[in-house]
Amino acid sequence: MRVLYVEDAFPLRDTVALALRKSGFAVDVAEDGEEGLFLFENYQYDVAVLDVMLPKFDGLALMKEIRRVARYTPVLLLTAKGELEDRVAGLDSGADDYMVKPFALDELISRIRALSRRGFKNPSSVLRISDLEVDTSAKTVKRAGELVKLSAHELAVLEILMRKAGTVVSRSVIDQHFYENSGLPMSNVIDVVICSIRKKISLNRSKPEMIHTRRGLGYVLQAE
Amino acid sequence: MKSIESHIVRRLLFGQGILWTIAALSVWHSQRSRLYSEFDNNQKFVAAALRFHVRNSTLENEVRNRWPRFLTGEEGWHFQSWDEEQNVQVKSEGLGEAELSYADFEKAWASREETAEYVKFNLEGPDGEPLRGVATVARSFRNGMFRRSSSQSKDVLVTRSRRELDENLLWLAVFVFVTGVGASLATAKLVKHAVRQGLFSLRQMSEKAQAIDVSNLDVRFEENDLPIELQPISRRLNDLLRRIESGFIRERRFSSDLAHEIRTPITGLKSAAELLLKWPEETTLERHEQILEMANQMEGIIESLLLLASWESGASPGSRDERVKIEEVVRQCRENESALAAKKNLEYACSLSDSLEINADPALFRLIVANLISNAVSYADENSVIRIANTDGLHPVLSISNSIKCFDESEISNLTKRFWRADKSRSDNVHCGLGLSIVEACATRMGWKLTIAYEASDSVLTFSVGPMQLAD
Repeated sequence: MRVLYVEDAFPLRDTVALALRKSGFAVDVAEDGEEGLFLFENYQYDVAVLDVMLPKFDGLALMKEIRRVARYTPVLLLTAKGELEDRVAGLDSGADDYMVKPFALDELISRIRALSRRGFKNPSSVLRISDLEVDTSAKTVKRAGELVKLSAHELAVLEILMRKAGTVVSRSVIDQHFYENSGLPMSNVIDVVICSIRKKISLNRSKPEMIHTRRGLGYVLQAE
Repeated sequence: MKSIESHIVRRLLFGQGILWTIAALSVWHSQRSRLYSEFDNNQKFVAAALRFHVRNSTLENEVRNRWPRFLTGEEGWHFQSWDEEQNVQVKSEGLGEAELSYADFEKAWASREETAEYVKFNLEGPDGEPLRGVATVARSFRNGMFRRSSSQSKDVLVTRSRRELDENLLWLAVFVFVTGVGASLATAKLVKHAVRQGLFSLRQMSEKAQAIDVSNLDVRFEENDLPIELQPISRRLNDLLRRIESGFIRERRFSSDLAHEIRTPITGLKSAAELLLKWPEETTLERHEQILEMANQMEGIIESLLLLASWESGASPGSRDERVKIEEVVRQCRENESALAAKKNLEYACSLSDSLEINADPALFRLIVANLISNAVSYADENSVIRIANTDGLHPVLSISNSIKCFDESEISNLTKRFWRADKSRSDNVHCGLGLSIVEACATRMGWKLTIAYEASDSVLTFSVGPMQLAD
């Protein structure tokens, strides 16, 4: 899942972004509304987390621009303005969720995850294909009842393949969803991650392969 | 404290009770006097005639012809006369064997006024009947006074039953009492109603005032439809309410602003703690520095607020008066902001005399200059010039100007409000919206004034403090 986080207070921005990355999200950060809009216009995000009081563009103005560019991207407003009228104004302006500072990191992560699920057909946190089961909340993966250990990135990639099971997911989609704009050679990283996931969920080849490569197109997860 | 209404009603009822009692007693006395007078006049006439006839021995015929009631003693009509030896000379037939008491006569006659011809008094008849008697004597007029005639002295007493008179008086008393009580009750009701009506506006005002609490401070009292006595009270109350309401709004805004300012660093600290608890491997020096920075930011806000609060309450000691070199303080404060000034490519145009010295509190003066320069550097447009100058004369004014294109002139009055920011976001961790409040408080403490002006044509915002006192 790729998240855009716009916050002007550097220490908070840095801490929350790190926590989101550690939870398996790909996070792009911006320190003002202008930079946030630039990122949003150039990349695809599953969720946008915006502070309301931002330099240049405030969060509500940025949200309106986001709605213009990507109408259905969930937006979570994260702000110190906690009065009832502020919350109502934020939600009425088009926000999907509103959190008042100070917040608990775990709650923020859960809300971002819940918002990100809205874009898929199956919004449940437990995904099942054949004997493969992924619990996106508990961060656990089981194959035929046996626990499989995956890294945060691997789990995030497996989750999108599970959510789009039966359809081909291109490398660029995976890249867009899970890797930040860091300039690394992404295609190779994705291949390595897919290979590792395959190996782990086939329980060292003892179970049938579930992730298949469609050459030149991408990957598809399905039960054979 | 009792209610005004019951107080007034009680007072009025008490006064009205006294008035009604006086009125009732007056009526009673006047009527009683009238009845007695009528009663006595009739008897007096008979007594006068009898006195004449007793002296002229024509009594018997007269009695038989004119006053046959003396023959029967009907309605207590009796008469009796005594000679100078106090022997009964003649008496009415209605008395039979009984006699009227000469002692009663003598006692009444002795108590009369010197010139009185008749004495009226109450006595008891031989059969116990309550009687009204009129006593007189046959007399001669000599030396301007009536005197008993020694040769023909006749004491005459005429009586009549008092029963009917007493009954009439009783009925009169009952009538006066009942009428008085009835009138009192009716008046009491009227008084109560009138007082209630008269105090209606006051009661309405009181009920309205009672319903006011912090949730409805926008309530206002009627001013024009009230009685003129209450209008000034209503105006003052409305004034007071307006001030209380604005005070509450200010306090609420202050609390909200303070909470808002504190929330971001608290969130940063909380998030950092949660992050490090969950992922201890992320404990780095940089992370610690961030935590310290957030703690410092909160400390800065709290210190500034405490400083302002202590000045406002007068708890902090008064300002010291020392020689302060303006140029030196300005130079040091400029150096503190040099990094940001360089980043924004700002230049200083400083026209301060090296030797300019003023009398001021060094710490307060430094706070003023530091805040004004920090403010100018933070909000000046990039690649612009910050001008620092002073006016000449015995009372110089220090001014610091910076160029700022995006500034709304109408916001000048808000600049010194606590937590007010030109840029609503916290784009830095240095300013928390208290700097100019502190500058104003410092200036006031030293007897100076902070003035702010914006020149829209040049987009220049100028802060001036003064007038200062040149050092001797």
